Amino acid sequence: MTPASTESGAGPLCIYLYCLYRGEVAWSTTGARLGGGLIVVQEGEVTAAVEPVMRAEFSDEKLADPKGILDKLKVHEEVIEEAMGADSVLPFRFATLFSSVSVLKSRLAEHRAQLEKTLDHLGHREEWGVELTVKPSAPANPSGGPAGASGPSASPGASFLRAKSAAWERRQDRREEAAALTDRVFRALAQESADSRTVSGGGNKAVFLVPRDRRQAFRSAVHRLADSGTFDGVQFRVTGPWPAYHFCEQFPMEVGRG
Amino acid sequence: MTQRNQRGMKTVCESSTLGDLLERILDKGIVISGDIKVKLVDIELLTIQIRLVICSVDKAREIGIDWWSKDKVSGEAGKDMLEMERLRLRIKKLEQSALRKEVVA
Repeated sequence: MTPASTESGAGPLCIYLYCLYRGEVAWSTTGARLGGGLIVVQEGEVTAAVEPVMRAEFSDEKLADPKGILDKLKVHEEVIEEAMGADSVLPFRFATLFSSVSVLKSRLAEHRAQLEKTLDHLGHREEWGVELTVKPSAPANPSGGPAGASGPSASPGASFLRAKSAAWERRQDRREEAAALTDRVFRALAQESADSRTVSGGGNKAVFLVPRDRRQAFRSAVHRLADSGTFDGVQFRVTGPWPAYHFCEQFPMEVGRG
Repeated sequence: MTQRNQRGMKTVCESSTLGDLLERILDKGIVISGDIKVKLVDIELLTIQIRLVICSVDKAREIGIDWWSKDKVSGEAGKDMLEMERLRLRIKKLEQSALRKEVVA
């Protein structure tokens, strides 16, 4: 038997929390997923999908092993995807563990109001991601440089620096044009969704919270924008539907994850 | 599903990648930490390591690469050696950077 740890509720088992949901889910099986089998814990009209798991399976070493973690990620995602049949689903981050069901229940009770507000916001909605790539247009004057830069009076060094400066300015212009284009696309798509936000990293990625019954309208809007002629040179990559992972962020970050 | 414009260029691509999945389930979703502390390594590092696992065709078969549903995620198996080498180099840099952070901290 493993020695008692200093954490609360010492013991080899703990509770893995996948998601909260409202409504009904027809689980494909209550058999083993990551551990001893799926259990649903009811709290009023909110249900928690949980599973008893071996604590040792979530040690630092295990979570640093790419093959091992991939297997677990697969299971986590499959469970959340199954829950998408419910009216509203709050996905929890991978590896949210509690020492017991009673600790889990009391944590959920602490955040009850906010959890219910988020469940309301995500009800019957799903997440779509859009990533744009703006192809660089060919420069108007590839040789660069203002007139006279390559004249007989300009030193090679000065010409080089002027050409570099002009190239930098052209790149800046293209960056600004690209940003303006992506902004226009995302504003248009925001009209087709209940909520939206840009995702960090370059400004060319955004996520949209789309009512399930507006799924086709959203996808058509993307295709319409791409077809409009206004955004030639822009490539659209659409991903979805996802559980609304990006729209859970209004929760305050808690200390506890390394 | 791919849409092409009048010049036949691909403009709209509906596809999901491993990166899309990992940025969501490792980095988003509700964060109410349990009373059990969990440590996940740097997400970029983990994403690349996992991609390497999947890149190796033998490994992919072993772990059943087709677990992503067909309409959600495109497979990344069969990447060429150059891509794998680039990923390994990137991992090395991330690991060195993580080590430096640990030493300084």
